[in-house]
Amino acid sequence: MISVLDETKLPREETYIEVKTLDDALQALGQMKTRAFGQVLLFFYTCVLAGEIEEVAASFKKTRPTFDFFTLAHALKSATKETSTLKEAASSIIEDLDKKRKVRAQRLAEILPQEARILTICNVNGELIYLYEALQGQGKTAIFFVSETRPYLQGTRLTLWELRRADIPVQLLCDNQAAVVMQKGLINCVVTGSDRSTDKGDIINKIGTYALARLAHYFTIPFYVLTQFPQALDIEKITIEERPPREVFMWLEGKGPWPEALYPSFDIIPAEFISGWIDISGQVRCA
Amino acid sequence: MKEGVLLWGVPTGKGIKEIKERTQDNRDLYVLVPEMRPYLFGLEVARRLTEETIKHVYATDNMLGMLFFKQKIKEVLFFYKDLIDKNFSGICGSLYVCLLARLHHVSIKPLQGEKMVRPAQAALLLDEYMSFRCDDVLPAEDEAVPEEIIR
Repeated sequence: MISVLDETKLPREETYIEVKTLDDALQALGQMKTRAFGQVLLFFYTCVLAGEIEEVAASFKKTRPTFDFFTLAHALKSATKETSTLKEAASSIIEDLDKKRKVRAQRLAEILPQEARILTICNVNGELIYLYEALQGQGKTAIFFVSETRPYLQGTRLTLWELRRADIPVQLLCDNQAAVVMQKGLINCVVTGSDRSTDKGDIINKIGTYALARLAHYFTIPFYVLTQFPQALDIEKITIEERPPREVFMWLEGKGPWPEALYPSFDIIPAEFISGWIDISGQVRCA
Repeated sequence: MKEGVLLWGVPTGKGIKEIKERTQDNRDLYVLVPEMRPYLFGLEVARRLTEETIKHVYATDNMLGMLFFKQKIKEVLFFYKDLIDKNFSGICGSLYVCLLARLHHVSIKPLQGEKMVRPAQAALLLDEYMSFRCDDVLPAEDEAVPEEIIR
């Protein structure tokens, strides 16, 4: 059995759901109980301990089509050649990734301004805490401006929650306030994660990221992206997940009936609007 | 999805009439209503459009970038509150929408909108519409959009 933090209940409650079967896992994934890249990766590696790797990857892919579970499966298979059990292989990948994320945060901190005023969107699984620690270690100061990230409010419910718990200076804004905070000079850089990326530098990330990149480009504010496993592929060929439109209204319970709605979950951000990429090995590439 | 007209701000009765005429003239035209955080004016606009039997589609504000990028928006009807010293004053997010339109070469038609006012305490992002509150928030204020961005 796996205990999974139910992210849809945050920040009001920290509750865990029990996952006993692959069907339970797929349901948790489909209902966004666990959702950002880091959490999904951890969840995936835990689920493969109880099932066949390729089958779990295919099932996960069907539920969340934009994520690249086959690369994760391949990495796990490769790791099993150097360990005696699958569990050891999964643990070693997860521990290794965490170490790499700390290094990546150091590299990013090196290129951020002395007084970093960082706009971010969605959630990068605790990595902003590593970034803050790295900035402090380098004698820099930082405040985060978190875009609320409608409709699921990952910025509000996860990033803001994480940063506040760590006593890190943070301010929340509506997604549509991004232009005005850039115009007023309240922020001097943008940092986001990426769910997918290509060797050409194009990325896919949470809906709303494209607008931030485009506006940052207009205001000549650097836009930095944390990437995982860039691939040689055409970004346009990646399926963009469409979530059920009713989820647009999920935090507005009791005020229906609701109008017809759209809900594409992810944006494509062309490389031309990105200033720098910091990959999981800590390598920094600037445009 | 075909090309649409994006509404930003709260239309007056006259504005609603113009939208209705446009949809009657072009049956393929869809009307896109953004959420307009933090006050969710989009829900009020959607209600008014429904009363006038104007078909529309709702989206969150952060989806607009993608819709501009995919060329799904051919015009923005910007219902501003005031015109002061060559700046159009509009609801929170007006600069975001008008700049994105400009960057994607989409025309913006300014129209006098309603001057919706919300009490100060509702300026919190997670206001009475949401099920929880938050204090570390950037105040939601009207925004000035320079005329050169619109014209």
